[in-house]
Amino acid sequence: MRCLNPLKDHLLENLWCPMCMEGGKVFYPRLRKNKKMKIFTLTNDVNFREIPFFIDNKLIQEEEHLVWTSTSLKKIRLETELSDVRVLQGLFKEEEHSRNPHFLEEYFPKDILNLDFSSQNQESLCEGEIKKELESMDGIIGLEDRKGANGFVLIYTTILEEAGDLNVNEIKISLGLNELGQEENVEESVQTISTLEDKKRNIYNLMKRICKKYNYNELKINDVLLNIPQENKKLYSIAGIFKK
Amino acid sequence: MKKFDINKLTEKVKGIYEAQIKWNEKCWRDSLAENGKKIEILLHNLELFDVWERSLKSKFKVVNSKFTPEILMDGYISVHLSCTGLYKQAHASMRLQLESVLRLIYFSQHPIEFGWWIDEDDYFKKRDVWADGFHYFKKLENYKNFLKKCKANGYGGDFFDDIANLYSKLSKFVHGGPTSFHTSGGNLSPKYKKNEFNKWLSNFVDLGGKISLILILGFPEEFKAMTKEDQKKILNTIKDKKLKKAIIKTIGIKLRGRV
Repeated sequence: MRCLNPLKDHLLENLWCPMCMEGGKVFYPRLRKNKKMKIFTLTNDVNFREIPFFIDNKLIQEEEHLVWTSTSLKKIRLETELSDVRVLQGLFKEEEHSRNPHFLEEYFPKDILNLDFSSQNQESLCEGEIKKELESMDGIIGLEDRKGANGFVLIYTTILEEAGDLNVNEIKISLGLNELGQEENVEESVQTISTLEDKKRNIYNLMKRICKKYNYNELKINDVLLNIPQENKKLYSIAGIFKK
Repeated sequence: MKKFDINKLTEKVKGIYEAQIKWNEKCWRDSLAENGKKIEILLHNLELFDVWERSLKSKFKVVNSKFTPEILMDGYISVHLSCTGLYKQAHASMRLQLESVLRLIYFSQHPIEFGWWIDEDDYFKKRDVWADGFHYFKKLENYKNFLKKCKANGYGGDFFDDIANLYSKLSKFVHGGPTSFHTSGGNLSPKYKKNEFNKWLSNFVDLGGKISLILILGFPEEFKAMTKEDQKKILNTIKDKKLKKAIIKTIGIKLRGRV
């Protein structure tokens, strides 16, 4: 569990924060002292450094943030550590409301959507259920759209393994992406992929297409793949700025 | 909100604040130095209330959202109080936990009464759901079957007598019985006491198992719908093998491997 902490710090400093800073310039060009962005973040009770880090970097202020963690005991810890932040708890990708998140309506829209699924169940480090994670992403982007968000910084982080297949077509059908048609490639639509490079490339494309489904176009996207020490697994994070 | 400044505190307030900070830290450290691994297991068991919360959410939304977090927190607070040497209060918190579990079962089937209880918290007067020797629970089919299975599996006691005995034991702490005094032994400030801690631990584990049994019997379909892994974790909180066998047979589940 602790082995992810330095990796998260690396992502925070080299991918997440730079992307959020650029997003701040895009969405709040007039605010110079503090961008006053609002964040929704999946985090854990030990390393929730994105909140103080973004505050220090004048991206967000101390209030009006929404944090999601997996268990009640973690919620208790986070509520104690981050007293001005609203903490929700549950298995995010399993929750009915992650696909159809009416429960979250009152807290949205947000400017930064940090969907760090690697933070949610660090006790068992294995490849995240990417299909469920992307379905959750779809639910959240749909919520942003319904709540009138003009744009956002979207961060998606997951654990990838060399082993295991990813059925891209199944995900596309589940998310209704096949109906978009224009970018569809017959060869691509039937494939099941298993190499890390292919997984990365497909996650990258799927994230863009989920946003496109709600008319959010990408202004910039970057990604990072890190080795998890002493594990034959990788931490993959992709961050982008999306705008209508 | 005003910012805290220790230098602005008056003499007695500063005294109690500093004493309590030190007392908490010392008791926590002494308790964990000897019992850290045991507490880790208790905390894992407390997280099982998250599993119950998820399982009950769709069918018993309101009652579940009211009681399940409270049940978890009563247990969590009991751990906290025992680790700060407050064994009397730690037991009182356990009685609250048991009461909330019994009410959760009752109100899940009585949503109208639940509304009355919310509006008027002494709705039951002195005859709460466990009154008359658990009369209400004894009438429920699952509990009746369970009692039969207990006998068939050689369990000598009566499950509801056991709960009544535990409830009575916890009540002595609530009502300040002489055995529950924390000022006995010449100290005013609570300290880590091995015997007291072990007594609390034994009662906490006993209560945890009984709560699991009560919840499984109260929500058998929801329990059956859980993953096998979660089912095993919940069953593992029941330490009495005969009771464990009886509950598995009562609800009719099959589990591979040792439970």
